[in-house]
Amino acid sequence: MQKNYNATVAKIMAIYGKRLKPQDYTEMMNRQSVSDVAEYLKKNTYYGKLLASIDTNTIHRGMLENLLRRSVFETYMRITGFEHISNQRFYNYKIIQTEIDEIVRCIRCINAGSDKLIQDVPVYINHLTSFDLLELAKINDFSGLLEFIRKTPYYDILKDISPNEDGKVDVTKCETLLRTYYINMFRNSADFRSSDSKQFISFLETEIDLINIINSYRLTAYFDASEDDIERDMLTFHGRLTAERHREIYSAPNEEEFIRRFAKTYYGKQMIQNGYDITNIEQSARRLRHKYARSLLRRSGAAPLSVYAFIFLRETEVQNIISIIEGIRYGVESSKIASLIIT
Amino acid sequence: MSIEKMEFVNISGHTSDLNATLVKLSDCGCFHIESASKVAKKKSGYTALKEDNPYTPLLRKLNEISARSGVTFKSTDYSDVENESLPSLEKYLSEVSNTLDEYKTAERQAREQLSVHEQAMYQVDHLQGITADFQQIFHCEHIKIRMGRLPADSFAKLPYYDDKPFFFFHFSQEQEYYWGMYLVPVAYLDEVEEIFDELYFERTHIPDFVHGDSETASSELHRMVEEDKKAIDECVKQSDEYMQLKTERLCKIFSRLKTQHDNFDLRNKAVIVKDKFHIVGFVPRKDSERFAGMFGDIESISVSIQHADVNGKIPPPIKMKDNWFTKPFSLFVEMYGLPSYNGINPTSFVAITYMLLFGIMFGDFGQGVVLAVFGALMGKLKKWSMGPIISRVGISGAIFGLLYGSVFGYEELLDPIYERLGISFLPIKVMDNVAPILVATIALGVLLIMISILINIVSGIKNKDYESALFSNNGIAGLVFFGSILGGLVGTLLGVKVFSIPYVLLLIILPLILMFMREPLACLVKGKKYKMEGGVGDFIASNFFEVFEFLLSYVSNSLSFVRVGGFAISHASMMLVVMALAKGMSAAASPVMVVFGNVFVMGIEALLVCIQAMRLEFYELFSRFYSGDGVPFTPVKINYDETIE
Repeated sequence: MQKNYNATVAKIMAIYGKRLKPQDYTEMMNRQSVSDVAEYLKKNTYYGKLLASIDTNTIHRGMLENLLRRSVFETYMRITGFEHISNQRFYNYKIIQTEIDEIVRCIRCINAGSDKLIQDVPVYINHLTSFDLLELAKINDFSGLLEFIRKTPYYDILKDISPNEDGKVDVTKCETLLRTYYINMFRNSADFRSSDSKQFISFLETEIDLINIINSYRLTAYFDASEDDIERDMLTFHGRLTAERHREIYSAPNEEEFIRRFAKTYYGKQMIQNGYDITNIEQSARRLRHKYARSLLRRSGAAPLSVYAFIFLRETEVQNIISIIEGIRYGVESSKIASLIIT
Repeated sequence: MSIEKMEFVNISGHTSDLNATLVKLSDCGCFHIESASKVAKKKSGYTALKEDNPYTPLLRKLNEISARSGVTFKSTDYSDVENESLPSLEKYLSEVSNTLDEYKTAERQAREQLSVHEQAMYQVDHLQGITADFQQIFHCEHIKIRMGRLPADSFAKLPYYDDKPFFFFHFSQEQEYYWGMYLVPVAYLDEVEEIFDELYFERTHIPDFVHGDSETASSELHRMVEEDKKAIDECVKQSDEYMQLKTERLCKIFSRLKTQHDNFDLRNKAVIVKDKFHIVGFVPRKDSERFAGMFGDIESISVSIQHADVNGKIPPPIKMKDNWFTKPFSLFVEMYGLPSYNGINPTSFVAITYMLLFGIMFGDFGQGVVLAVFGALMGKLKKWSMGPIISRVGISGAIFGLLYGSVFGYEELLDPIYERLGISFLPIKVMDNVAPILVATIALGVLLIMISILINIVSGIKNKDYESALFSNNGIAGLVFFGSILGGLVGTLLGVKVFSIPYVLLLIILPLILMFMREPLACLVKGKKYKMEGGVGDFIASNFFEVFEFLLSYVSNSLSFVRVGGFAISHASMMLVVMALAKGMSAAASPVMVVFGNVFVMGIEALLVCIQAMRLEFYELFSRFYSGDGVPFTPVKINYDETIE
């Protein structure tokens, strides 16, 4: 019988209670510089502990963003270490997610001929990953990457991919394959009770639906991609939207038609009901994902679901702060920044 | 159990006398003001005064001076400055503010200087180990050196740059940073600087005034910092001396302005009809004569004093009358809400029942005495409002401790005394009488619930709320039903046949029907016509469930008192454990265990018992007779502690 990790759930709720409130975002948006935002976070929020030793007057935007991202991972380690559940298979998902993200970033850098991968490498996680992230950052061709990941599960996933004449790799295909592996890992996970597992899979499938919608919208609106091209690059799982419904949306000839068809789906109706701007599908889909995660955290008393939903919400919170920091840094109007904040 | 009787007061006079009247009102200390527009008739064509308070800007200025200087202004006799004009006062305050600014600017400059030196000291202290002169290091011809700190995450990335032409040496580490320096050949400076920029390296610029090696530089900087601190102290001293000279006059100005400000604010409560003002409010009946005579020296003023209830629009405020013994318990009553004007002040009831319940649950002579002394001291020294309550319940705990024969957990200590006195039924050993204690506490609960119902009946009749007093579950019908059921049960247990047909019909079924029909019956008594909302079916369904809920509440409320016995037993059990642990220890450790155990049990039990007794008061008793919707009596006065922002 699976053990209940109620203390972990209680701890998560306690930490979640300290989350940033809408007035915190408003306060930050009213600040004039990145230093001011850092100072606000340090003095008025639970990020104060993270920023205690930081001189907010001199902090670099990139460093602040890295610190915030690291704080999410540290929280993840703290809550999974609380009742020593981190050794269970499910709770490894954050490490796998990071490994996949880094491989995808590496492929992008290879394609772009950039050596800037090192800049955002989450070095704080290096002791937990199945390969050395610093060594990964040194790789500059795809064959080198395959050789580097030979002893990891990712090799079998990417081994059949071959670069084109320019040495470039189809990064979308790689990403789809890697994400499929990641989702299958969850689907095969037996670390928690079947009822919780069902609830989790349902949440995950909803997420996949929304991710597919975001990606297919981008391909339709910005790349004028064909239905076949879109379908090839989508994750092959479905939630509330059937494969036929997906195809119907993918076959939309233009952006307007895409939105019109999407508006008739369950998610489209949900967006309209919640007062989200359906013409801004990407942002509204993120809002919907956030809403579902909040609901999952509130309704579920199971540790795996709570951990997953909570970490998702923390990542959204950090992304909100980053949006504000970048908005202020590049002089974006506060109303425009506000439209990016998800609460 | 009474509430101070009030009188409704209407003061009117010529508008030119309004300010003088308001001064008298705030001086008298017994006038609760209400907004006169609440009672003024629209037809009278009244206007409410809405004016900006002219004293607010000056008070703000004073507040700024207070905040900057750290001096708190207190109320004092202000006759010296009473006739000084506002512009003159404003000029004086500006002078003080400007002079204070000069001192503060000098202090700020000294602090900035200190900050620069401390910053340099902080940086140099992290570079301990450099034996060469800083100036020489920075003037190397082929090698460039950059000192500063590198984030810990970036430090971990340095192996990635193994093939790049630089060395990074770190001297110390603190949380997020590694302090150190990197050396780079001049030819590669740009490339390496770019790398370190990307790694968020924070370069430290050692100021030009720093000379020598790290040790020499550090000691020189320490000396500078000490000098800066002395300079700051001197600035603070001068500012304090200046404020000492000015404080007396500033206090006078503050007192005058605050008095005039608060009095002026009261003008908003008045209404003006033609050239006359009207102010309304309440005064306690005992002060009404003195109050009416206060305005003899203002010719245009007329004061009309009427019965408090004369105006149905404003409920009279509540001032509870309590004696010295029960007064501390008014804290609990106020926490729940004040009684209505025609209601009953439950403070004495709370005082007696709270002490009784606490005593039964906490019963230990020694611990009770300690608690009483602790409460008395806290009340006296720290002015803690719970102090007097704790001292009283401590005494109650001590009395029940005597009955239980328990002194600091020693259950046999009083046995010989009772034997010598020949009192055979004492002490009542808690652990030997578990069942009788539990039954007795339920009986006590039943008694308290019946008293609560009686209070509700008296209060309901007083307020002409017949539905509540006669037909509700907390009225006569409820009392008869509850009492008859209990009487019948007790009689049956004693072998007396009580439940005869007339008994059941008259004392059980009839009260139930009355409770069921309470709304139409109340209308009947008042001579009003009852309007059935939602039809007969709805009436039957809703009243059926409500009556069912009443029956459940009698049972659940009574059984709730079993906790009183439960806590008495738990207290004795916990002390039993403490004593058993102490017994098993060495001769030296045993007394420590007894003391520690007593402190622990006393602390935790006192807290739990306080909460449980309060819960019983609020949920089981108050809910039967108390609504707590009264308005507190707050006489107008000048609030010198209030800050004007």
